[in-house]
Amino acid sequence: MPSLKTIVEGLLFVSDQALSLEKLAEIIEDGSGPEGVGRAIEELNAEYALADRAFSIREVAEGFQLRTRPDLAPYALRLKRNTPAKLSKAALETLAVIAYRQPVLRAEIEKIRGVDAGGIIKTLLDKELIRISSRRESLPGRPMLYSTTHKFLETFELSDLASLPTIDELDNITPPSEARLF
Amino acid sequence: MLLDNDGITLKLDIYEGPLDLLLHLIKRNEVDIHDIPVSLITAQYLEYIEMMESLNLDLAGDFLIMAATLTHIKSKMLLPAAEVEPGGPAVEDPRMELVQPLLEHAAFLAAAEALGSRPQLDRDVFARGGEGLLTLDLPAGEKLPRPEQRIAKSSSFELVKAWHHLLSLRASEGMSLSFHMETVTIGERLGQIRRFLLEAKAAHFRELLGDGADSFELALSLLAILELARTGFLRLFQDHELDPSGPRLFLADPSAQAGPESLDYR
Repeated sequence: MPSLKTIVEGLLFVSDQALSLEKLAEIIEDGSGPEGVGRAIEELNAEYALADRAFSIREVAEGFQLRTRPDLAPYALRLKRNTPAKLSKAALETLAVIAYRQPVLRAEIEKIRGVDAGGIIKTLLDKELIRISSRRESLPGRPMLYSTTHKFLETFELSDLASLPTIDELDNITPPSEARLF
Repeated sequence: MLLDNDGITLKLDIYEGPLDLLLHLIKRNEVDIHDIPVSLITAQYLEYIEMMESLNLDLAGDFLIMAATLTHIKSKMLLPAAEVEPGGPAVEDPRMELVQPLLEHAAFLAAAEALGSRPQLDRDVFARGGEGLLTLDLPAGEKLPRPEQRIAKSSSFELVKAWHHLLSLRASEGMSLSFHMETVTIGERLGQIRRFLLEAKAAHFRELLGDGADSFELALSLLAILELARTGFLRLFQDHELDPSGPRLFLADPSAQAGPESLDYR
C-alpha cells in the first residue's frame, strides 16, 4: 500500500494540469482530506529541496502542479522545439493594467498607458491570457470589459489574483534607478 | 505598415507613447518626478519629436497633444505667481496635471516588470508533457550563446535614436539617402536570407548586407530578419554589446515558414 505522499506525487506526475487539493483528496479516498493532501505536498517539497531535485510542486491557478526549477530553463529550452512565447514589454504592461484593474475598458487601459491598445489586446486574447468578461451596459455602444484568464494564473505561477503584489508594494518609483522602466 | 509610391511614408505602430517618452527623459536626466524641470524636459521632448518626424515616423496625435501640454505648462510657470490671499486656496503647481498620470503610468510599468520577472510557464519553468523537441542546426564548432546573454534592455526611443544615428552617419560618409524603389521587395529579401542561412547556418548581420546597401535595403533586411525571427526560422544573438558586426543569426527551424506574400509592401 503506497503512502499518501507517494500517491500524491504519482497523481501530480501523471496529470498534465494543475490539481486542486479537493480533487486530489477525492481521488485518493483515504479520509486524509484536502488538509492531509496539503501537508503531504509540503513534505514532498521539503524532500525535493533537500535532495536537490529538478522539480517542485507549485501552487498555480487554484491547484498544484509539478514544475521544473527556473535554473533548468536554459536546458529545457534547448530541448523544446518552440522558442518561448515572448511577451513584449508593451504586452506585459497592458496585461498588468488588466490584471490590476479588471474588469477594465480598452479606453481605461489606453488612458493609463497613453497609447493605443487595440493590437496588444488582440494578441493577449489570442494567447488566451485575457478574455472579454462582460460589457459596460451603462455606456453607449456597450463597450467590452477585459479580465485575465485561468491561463494567465497558470502562466505566471499565481495561485489566484490576490497573490499579485499590490500596486502600493510596487510603488518605489520616485528614486530614479538604473534597471527600471527602460 | 504602409509604403506608398510617391515619396515614402512609413507608418509604424508606436507602442510606447508620450508618457513613456516623458518618463524616459525624466529618468535620463535623473530628475524628481514631483519636481520636473519643465523647460529642460520640454526642450528634449520637442527634440525627440523632431527626430521622429525627420525619420518619417507617423507620430500619433497623442505625442503632439503632450507637446502642447508641456509648452502650456512651461508658459504658465513663466508667469509671475498670482497673489495668494491669506487663507485662500493655494495656487496649484501647473505641473500637477502631469505628475498624477506619470505616477500611475510608472506604477503600472513597475507592475509589468514584477509580472515579467515571475517564473513564466514554458519560458522559465516547465510542466510535464508539452511540445516536440528541437534540433538546433548549428555549423560544426558553433555553440549557442548562453541564454543570459540574450537579453538587451532598451526602449523604442533608443531604437529611433540609433536608426537616426545610423542614417546620419551614412549621410556624412557621403552616401545618398535617396530611396530606390526598383531594387527588391521585402519578400524577395526574405527569400534571399532564408536561402543564405539554410546554407551557412549562422551569419553576422553585416554579412547579410551588401557593401553598398542603402538605407532602404538596410531597413528591408532588418524587417526580413525580424520577421524570420518571429516565425522561429532564425534566432538572434548579440555576442557582445558593441559587436560592430551586429547581432549574429542562427538557423533555428528550417521548416518555419514566413509568408512572403503577406510581406510584399510594394
